[in-house]
Amino acid sequence: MTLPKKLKTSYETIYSDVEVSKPFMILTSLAILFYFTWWLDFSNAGNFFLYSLLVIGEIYHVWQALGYVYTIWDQRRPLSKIISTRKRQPPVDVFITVCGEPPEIVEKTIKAATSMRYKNYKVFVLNDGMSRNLPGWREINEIAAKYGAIPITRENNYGAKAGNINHALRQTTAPFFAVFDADHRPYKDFLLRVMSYFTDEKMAVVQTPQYYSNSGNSFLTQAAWEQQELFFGPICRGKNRLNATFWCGTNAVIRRTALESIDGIPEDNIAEDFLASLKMHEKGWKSVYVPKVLAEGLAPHNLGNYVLQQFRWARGSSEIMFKHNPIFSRGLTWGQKIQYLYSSSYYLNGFVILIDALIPIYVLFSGALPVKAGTSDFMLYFFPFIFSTLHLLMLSTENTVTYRAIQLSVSSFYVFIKAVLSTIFGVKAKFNITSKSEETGNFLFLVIPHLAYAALGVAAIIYAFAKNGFVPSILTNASWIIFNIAFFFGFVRVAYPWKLLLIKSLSKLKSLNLRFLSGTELPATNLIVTNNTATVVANSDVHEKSAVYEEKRK
Amino acid sequence: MCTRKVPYMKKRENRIYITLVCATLILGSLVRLINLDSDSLRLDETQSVWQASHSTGFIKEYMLKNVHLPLHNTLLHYWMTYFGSGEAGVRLLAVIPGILALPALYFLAKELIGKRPALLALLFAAISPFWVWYSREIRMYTLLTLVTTLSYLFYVKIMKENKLIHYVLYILVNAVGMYTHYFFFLVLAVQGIFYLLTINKEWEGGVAYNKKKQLVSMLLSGFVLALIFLPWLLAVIKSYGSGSLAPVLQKPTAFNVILSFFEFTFGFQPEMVSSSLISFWPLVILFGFVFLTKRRTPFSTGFNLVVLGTVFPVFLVFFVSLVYRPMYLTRYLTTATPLFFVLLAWYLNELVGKTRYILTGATVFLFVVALFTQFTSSANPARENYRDAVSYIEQNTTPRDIVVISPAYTLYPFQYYYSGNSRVSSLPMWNKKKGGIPETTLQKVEEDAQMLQKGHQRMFLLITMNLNGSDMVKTYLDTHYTKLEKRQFSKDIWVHVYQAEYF
Repeated sequence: MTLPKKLKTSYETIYSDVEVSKPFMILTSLAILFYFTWWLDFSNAGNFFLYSLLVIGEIYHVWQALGYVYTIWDQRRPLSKIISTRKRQPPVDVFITVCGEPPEIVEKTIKAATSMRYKNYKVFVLNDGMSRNLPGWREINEIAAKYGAIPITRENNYGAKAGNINHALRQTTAPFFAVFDADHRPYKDFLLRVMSYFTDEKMAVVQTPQYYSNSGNSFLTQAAWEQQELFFGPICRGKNRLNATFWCGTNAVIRRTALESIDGIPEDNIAEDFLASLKMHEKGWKSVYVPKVLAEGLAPHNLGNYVLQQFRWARGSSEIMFKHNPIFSRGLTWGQKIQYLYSSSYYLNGFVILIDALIPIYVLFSGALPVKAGTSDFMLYFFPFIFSTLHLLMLSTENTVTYRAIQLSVSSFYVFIKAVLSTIFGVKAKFNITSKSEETGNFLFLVIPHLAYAALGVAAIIYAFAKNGFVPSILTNASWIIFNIAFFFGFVRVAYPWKLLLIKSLSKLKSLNLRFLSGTELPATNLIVTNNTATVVANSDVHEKSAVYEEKRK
Repeated sequence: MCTRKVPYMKKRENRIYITLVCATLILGSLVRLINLDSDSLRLDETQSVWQASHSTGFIKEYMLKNVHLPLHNTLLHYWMTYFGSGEAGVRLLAVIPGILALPALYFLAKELIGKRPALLALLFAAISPFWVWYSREIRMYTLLTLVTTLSYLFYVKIMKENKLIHYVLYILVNAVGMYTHYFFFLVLAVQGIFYLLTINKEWEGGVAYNKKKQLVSMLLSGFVLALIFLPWLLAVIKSYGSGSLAPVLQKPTAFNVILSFFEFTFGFQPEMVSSSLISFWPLVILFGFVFLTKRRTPFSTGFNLVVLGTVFPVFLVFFVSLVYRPMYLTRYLTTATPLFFVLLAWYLNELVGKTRYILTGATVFLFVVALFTQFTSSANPARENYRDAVSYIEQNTTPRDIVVISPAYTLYPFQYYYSGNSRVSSLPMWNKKKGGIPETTLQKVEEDAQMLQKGHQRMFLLITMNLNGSDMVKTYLDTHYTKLEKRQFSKDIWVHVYQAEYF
């Protein structure tokens, strides 16, 4: 078992042409179904209500697992070609949507967009800052002008991002338009590579990955990117087979006539891109995913931003689920229906996680057991299912799927629940922009559910041990609680700059200690905080180190 | 920055590494050798000793009716002529392959997962309660473990290097394996299936060679092995239908499979410890998730062999036991353990950061604790303290008492230790010369008990409670005779004293 290969770069992962062996996928599917047969045997039921809840959760797990196998069944990459620079290049309008992002970030995007190697395109900066009365919107327009881009502002902010693009479409004419978020910088060859797919007259959307250039900055950005790697890796590559790739909001080019055929981008949905794709597919248009990093953006820097982003995605998907359910949609193939349902139902995960997390606590407090059968019997069904699924995940992602990415997904359960409930009860969704500034801070209020769970879990374990002793069923439920806490730790870890707190405390302690021991004053110290490290230095060194840090950042 | 190590550092590291390997081997040898006669011989061991005390012809004939093969007991037969039949003397024959399996496993792990994790695999094997237990038991399992490990080693060597010497050693080792235990064929099955599945695959770290020539060589090796086994196969066919001494086993449940992997890891623990540790199974799932991290491709050809060799024998035997005939016993599946330890070491080595150190430390700690508990706990379910039970009987019986053994085949350990002068019989009564063990029925128990009590003052019942029929015998005697005393010697070994006739 020598390890000949290097760690893959993010580019290589996305561009991978890995093919998981079909016999293994069949085996995994059989393991999943075999596992489900255990739950279908209702003679295993203990407390019927708890059992039913678990069965619902398991139906969801089985659906997601089988859906994954179905999605990645064929990972063929679409044939790629570059439009020759000599040939006719169809006109493209490039839209950069801006809504209060820091000017220095927007400038980089405009600069990159105006530097693309493509003859026939114009760059428009869709600046919604004015309509929202956001500070610095004028500066954005000045930057746009500086690089030869055309700023478009509007009086109102109706329809948020969708409204902004629709507004721009009314003022532009090119048959194709590219959309970039304010923090997503296209590479020079973006249009050359993407436009080649539009030789197919039915091609409506060409989507490329959303690569996070700041992924190495912190646990959060790394995990956020790793989640993207799974989505923009095997999942999106698999959707190609079924013509089910959907527009992901940025880093894509869209055919104007396709969008016009559905009366523009829907403005009443928070996930306008997702819904627009669905409507275009209904009309028989095609889409393709190009698994090649052609633009780079920024991951959410802090938990607040991450939660906002997840809420937005979850809310949009829920609206598709509950208001535009693809199963009842006319014009979609069954493959497309399943894919849309598979993607939009992902966020129901929140309820399943909550059920699975609360049941062991309830069991420990009440003594009610959801299942009658001995756990060993269950294990024989569960272990092949879980380990073959994990192995499949590793094979299909070429070992880029990570525990921390799953931790963040699991920890987001309450965000997903909130999003789904707000859709069901028709609570109006706000279009919140994720801040792109490099802030870290106190987001402990976002982990109250996780901390409460940990406290309740520990209390339940202590209570059950005190009442019944170390009984196997209690140990198993206690293990499930530990299991859940381990996953929830993902959010707790990024909710507060713990390292900083530790270093501060240590330096305080050290200084007190030394003062006490030597009776002398120590030189004043300071903390230099970079993205994920903090260093204690004497004040005299601060200026020097800051200069080095700034230099590195440049 | 240059990260290449300077030669003297490399040398130093190598020296430390070799020291650690040697220290682990010494540690493994010590835990196998220390107090070798501290425990009583168990039922199976005394059966081996009894068989080996006969001629090699008898051993062969006996094994033709048994589920085992003749090689081990024939070796024991010659061994006993030099080392006697004392507890430590006979067990020394098991310790030797037990110790030799350690370097064999180290070299196998080195081929499969590399140098560093191979040391960890060696450590697990050295302090593995399961391996240590069977290294101190005079049965064929430790020899089976050794030949299994060597067979995999030479198989991997053939796949990587394809040298003649490896074929020769492969055939020799497999020949020994085929005559050691029938379950060794599972090893050959794993290798055969794996060879067919990976026939065109390159092994990492291997040299280039002609695959067609290799196929011919493998077929030739198979043919030679078939020829070597043919005489025994013909003898078995010839003696078919002449009676069977095969033990009657229960159909396994899913719990047996879980318990097997538990015992591979923690050996034999008191029931409360086993059930508590097994209850933590959700954490095994968590360990599966923790493993997910960005990594270089870890699933090499060798890795797939490790997984197949660990899982396939267990599940195949489980399945066959369910649909055909029960044959599931964890000790028979010791063929899965070498690759299981390799898998465990590989998993821990693949973890990153602090998690790797924490989980490796915790695993080693658990192995040590489990080994200690296995050695010391009187509640160890595998311990069979016939020695003290028989000694108690010897000291407390008079010629007017009768000693009754149940089930009948526990006469072997009794005879090994007993040198008293009371009358001895079994319940149900069994005349070894006349043939097989009689079935335990209530009518037979009743008839025999009444016959045995006649002319005796007390009845000393040596009973092994976890064996078939013992419950019925004990219940019958408890309800028909006055119990004078009872004493427990290990988890399932009891002596009950009943009033037989009043004088």
